[in-house]
Amino acid sequence: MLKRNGEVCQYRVPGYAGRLTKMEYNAYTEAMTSVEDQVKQLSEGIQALSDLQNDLPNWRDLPVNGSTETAQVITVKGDQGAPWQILRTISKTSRNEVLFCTRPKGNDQQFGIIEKFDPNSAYARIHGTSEVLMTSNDPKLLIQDHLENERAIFQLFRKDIEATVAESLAEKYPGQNLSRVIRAISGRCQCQESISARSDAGNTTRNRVSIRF
Amino acid sequence: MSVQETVSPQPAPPPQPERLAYSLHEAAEMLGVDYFSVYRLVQRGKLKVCKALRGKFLVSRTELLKLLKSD
Repeated sequence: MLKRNGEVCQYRVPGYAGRLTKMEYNAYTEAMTSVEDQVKQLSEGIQALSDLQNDLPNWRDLPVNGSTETAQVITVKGDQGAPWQILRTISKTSRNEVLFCTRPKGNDQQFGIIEKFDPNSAYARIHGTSEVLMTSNDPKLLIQDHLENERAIFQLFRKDIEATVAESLAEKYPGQNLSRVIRAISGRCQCQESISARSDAGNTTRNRVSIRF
Repeated sequence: MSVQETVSPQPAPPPQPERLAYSLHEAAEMLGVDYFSVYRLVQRGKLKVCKALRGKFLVSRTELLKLLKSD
């Protein structure tokens, strides 16, 4: 029987190899409940990123939302040049959309990642409803850079979740060493990532409308 | 003989001190954008953040107001 400071360590949680004491397990459960939505958001974001990454080899035939004739266009406040034509929605939430777009530029074609905000948001009222995140004349390079940026964002997000948990535990359990609980929560966040990666491996069949460029 | 009761007025609650900083979640709510959008703003250098004691990201009120006024 494993004991720590006289307490039995018998509780196992996903994503963490060690065992927690009853007090640690209660703290873990409480902390997980408080960040449940954020962990879910992280999981969904990672899933969307994995989907996009798995699609990349197929991007010789570029997936689009509709045909080029019916594709929607988007204008960006303060942006010079032609309006952007939306080729694909990369991600969508109730408050934003990240779009993969294109437009002619001279004799070439320019591609862009554009973020569209809720038009009623305080931010959109000042800065416009959409912003160009990145542009390139090479769509694959653009998507790869976007993926790298999003990965970095998820790491920041994960660190912020861990910090929030650490702060909350320090307030609720002053003087207690709950570093193992924080590591377990961190492991849970990383576990979400590996679950998403595993589900990608089994999901290879997709239907899509494509356009060759 | 009537007794007139005097009701002493309730003391007004003390004014809440203005917050100096907000979490990124609170910043997202104030800006009306998605949580990840705030991280993108941070990553692009449009919104400056600092780290609190345990590594939690905080946005100063000044930075938020700056973003809500103009570029």
